[in-house]
Formats: sequence, C-alpha cells, structure tokens
Amino acid sequence: MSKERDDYDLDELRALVADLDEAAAALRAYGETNDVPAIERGATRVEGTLSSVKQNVPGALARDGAFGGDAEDEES
Amino acid sequence: MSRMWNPMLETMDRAELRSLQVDRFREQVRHAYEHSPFYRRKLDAAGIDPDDIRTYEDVREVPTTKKGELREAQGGEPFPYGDLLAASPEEVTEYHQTSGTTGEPVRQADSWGDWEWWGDCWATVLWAQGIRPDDRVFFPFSYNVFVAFWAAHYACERIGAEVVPGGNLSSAQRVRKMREVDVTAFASTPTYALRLAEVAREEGFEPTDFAVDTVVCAGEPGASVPGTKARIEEAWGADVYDHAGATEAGAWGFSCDGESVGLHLNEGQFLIEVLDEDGEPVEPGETGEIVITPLNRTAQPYIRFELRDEIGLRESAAVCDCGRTFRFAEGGVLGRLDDLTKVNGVLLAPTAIEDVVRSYDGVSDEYEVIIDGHEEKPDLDVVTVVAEENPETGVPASEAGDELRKRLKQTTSITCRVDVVAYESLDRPELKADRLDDRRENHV
Repeated sequence: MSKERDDYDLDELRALVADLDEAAAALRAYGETNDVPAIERGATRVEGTLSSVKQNVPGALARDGAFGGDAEDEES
Repeated sequence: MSRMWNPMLETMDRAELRSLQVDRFREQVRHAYEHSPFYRRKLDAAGIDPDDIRTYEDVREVPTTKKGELREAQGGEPFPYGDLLAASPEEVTEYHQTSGTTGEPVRQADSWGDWEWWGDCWATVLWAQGIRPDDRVFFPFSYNVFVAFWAAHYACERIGAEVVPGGNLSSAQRVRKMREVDVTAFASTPTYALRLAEVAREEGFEPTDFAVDTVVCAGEPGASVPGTKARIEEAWGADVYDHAGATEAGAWGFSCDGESVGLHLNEGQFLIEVLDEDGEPVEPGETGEIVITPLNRTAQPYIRFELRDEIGLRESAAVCDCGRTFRFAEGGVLGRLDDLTKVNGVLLAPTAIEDVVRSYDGVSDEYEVIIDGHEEKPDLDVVTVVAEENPETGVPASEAGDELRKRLKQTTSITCRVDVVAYESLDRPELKADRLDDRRENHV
C-alpha cells in the first residue's frame, strides 16, 4: 500500500477496513488475555474510531456489507 | 486486573529498557533534525548526526535544550511556535502554554498523535494510582490554556473511567456535586484538595463521608511532602497520590500503590537523565537535576530539555514493592531549582517549610512565607512564616508559634519569625498557591 495512492476502489477499501477491524479486535483480545490495559483500551479506542468512520463512508461500502451489515437484507 | 497500565514496559529488564530508550531517542532526534530548523541548527553546530546515536554515551554528546532557547525560537516564524515546530502548522491540533512563572510563557504545540501520547502517559499515572473503568472522576477546575487537567481528563476517558467536569462552579457547588453524584476520585493541586475539604465542612458535610477513595495530585510537590500528604489523606479518608509533569515534557513521574513515598520515573515514554552540576549522571542514592527527552513527540519535540527539577534517586537495591523496574525519585521532586533561594547563605527549599507546617497540627493548612531584609541590618535576611490557628486542636497561638519556630529551626537550620494569626485570616488559593513572598531588594 502506497501513501501516495488515492485511487483505491471500494472493494480495496472494504478489505482494508476489514483488516483494521480484525487488527483492533486482535489487539483487544491480546490485551485482555495478557492483562495489558494499555493495549486493550487502546484497541477499544481504535474500534470506536472505526465505528465513526463506518458511519461516514460512501453508502456503497455499507451496502456491500463491509461493516458488519447483511448486504442482502440491506438491499431488500 | 493488572496493577500496571503497560506491564510489558513497566517491568522491563533494565538493560532492555535502556536499549529501547536509546533507539527511540535516536528516532526522536532524527525527527527533530529533519523537521525543525531550530534543532537542525543546534545539532549541526554540535556535529551530531542522528544516525550515529547508538549508546547512552552517545546520548550525552547531544546538546541540552534550555527554556530560554525555546522562548527565543518562538519569537520567530512561523507564528506562534517559531522554527521549534517540527510539523506543518496544519498538523497542530492542541494549543497549551506554560504558566510563565519564570518568564514569558512557552507555547506548546501538539498534533493529534502527540495528544494521544499525552493521554497514554497520564493513563500510566492514573492506572498506577488505582483509577479503573468503574471510577467516577471529578475535575474541579475551569480548564484553560494549561495542560495538566486536560490531559488527565482524556486519560480517564482512555481508561474508560467516567469524567465529571467541574469547571465554572464555585467551590461550594463543586463539593455539592461531588457528594450528589458520588465521585470516587478527583484530581487537584494539593492546595485545592485541602481547600475543598475545608469548604465541604463549611457546607455541612464531612469529607470522609464522601465516596472519594482516591485523590490524584498535580501541579505542586505537596503529595510527596509527608506532612501535606497526611493532611489530605486524613481530610478525605482517601489514598493520595502524586504526579510530576511539565507542559513541555509531559507527565514524567508518578507515585504508585506500593509502600514507597516518591515518584517512579516513566521510563517507557521518556529518557530521563539525572545529572550533577558538571553534567555527569548521579549514582543511585544521590541527588541531581533532571534532563528529559520525551520519546514520541511530533509537533514540538524536546531533546535533552533542562527541566530544572531536582530529585534524589533511590538506591537501586531498594526496588519498589509494586514490581516496576522504573527508577524511583525518593520523596518526589525535592525542589525546582528556580524555587530554591539562599537565606543568609543557607539554601532554603520551600517544600521544607511546607512539610514542617503541615506536620504540626497546632496550626491549620494555610500559611505564607515572607523573606525580607532586617529592619536595622538590611544585609541580614529575615524569614517570617505566617500560619493560622487550628480550630480543631485549639492550641493557643503563642504556644503554636513557639513550637513551629523550634521545628523550623530543626529542619531548615534557619531561625524564622513565626506569626500565628486567626483561622481564615489568609487567602484561600483555588489552584496553585504562591506562598513564598520574597521582598528582598537586589536579591539574586
């Protein structure tokens, strides 16, 4: 991934956001399991920020079910 | 639940920690060199190539930074931070400034990432002092350009504790709010913690009946001054913790829930050198001045900043029972070098007088210190301590004055005049107290 790129399509963004979600969840789980509040609480903040990002992305992303919604249900 | 915010850092092997610090120091110097013209000039003049910093000895080759240099740099462009700034002005999201007690205030620029770092440093402090997600924390201050309580507020949020903001309220309204919502902790200067307890009693409450079990102190050294700490603990029936920080540096020191009285140095986020007058590192058990480098700052870095705080390092064999490997400043900040003053040739630390006054229950919490020339012998300094009668103990003023004079002489080696006045005669400060009034002419 290049910092200079500005031509991501929605499929790529969906995958990247899913990676972020997974990374935050993994960090939170690690923090909980190993009793490291700095990591667990930091991951919780990332999840909160991602939640806000999801509310502001183009609708097509949400319709594609990238953010936990069921695409078919939302389209029906 | 862990006693530490980040046990991986806070219990790290010393050699490993030192190596991590040197690596982060190198990255911080490189960032400053590449983005701040101020630091590029300094480092070029000293012949320092950031990539050559590999050991702690290399760190000490890097020139220190003085507060006067910061003020001078901020007089230039870009306004208002000058070429100290190591980021584009658009990246700056937070403005704060120093209080300006020793000169023109220094402006502090922080990026969003820096602000996250501030919160993390303060979370380390608050977690060590028992603040947890189920706490309700009160901030009895009107927030302004000074950074301390802002950062603590956001650290509570980071921890998951509930924040009750107490700005723009009178002291009486604040204690009523604390009682109404059952706050479990509050953050305060030691001066104001004592004042709030006094106001609570005036309002008909007994502070020890409040749900408060933790008082986090900042802004003054009082919570590491045994006499003051004991008074706050007694007033609130709560554990009292100390914190040390600076607008420029961040929250660099904290007391913990162990048995020790003093401050751990937050060596996970700072490289803290304790140096003697010749700039050489002091040994454990010795006293020296702090030179500090925050290790993860972007917008306005500080490379080997001369903090002007004096601490005494605990003997390395006496590890704190909390389990941290971070070094420990015995008794907290012993004094700001800018606050130390000579009286008839004897060095006087204001905290020494504070401890004597607060350790004696014949007088109440408030006091003032006046230093002036003798009426008939102007070359002779006279120290007058003005304290208040304590209505709770009822010790007569003359008796209290004699006892206090004796205790002050024993501790400071200075013969003070003591004036014990009626309770509530002195002003009640609501943030930091400036208790030392030095009226001597031509005193340097």
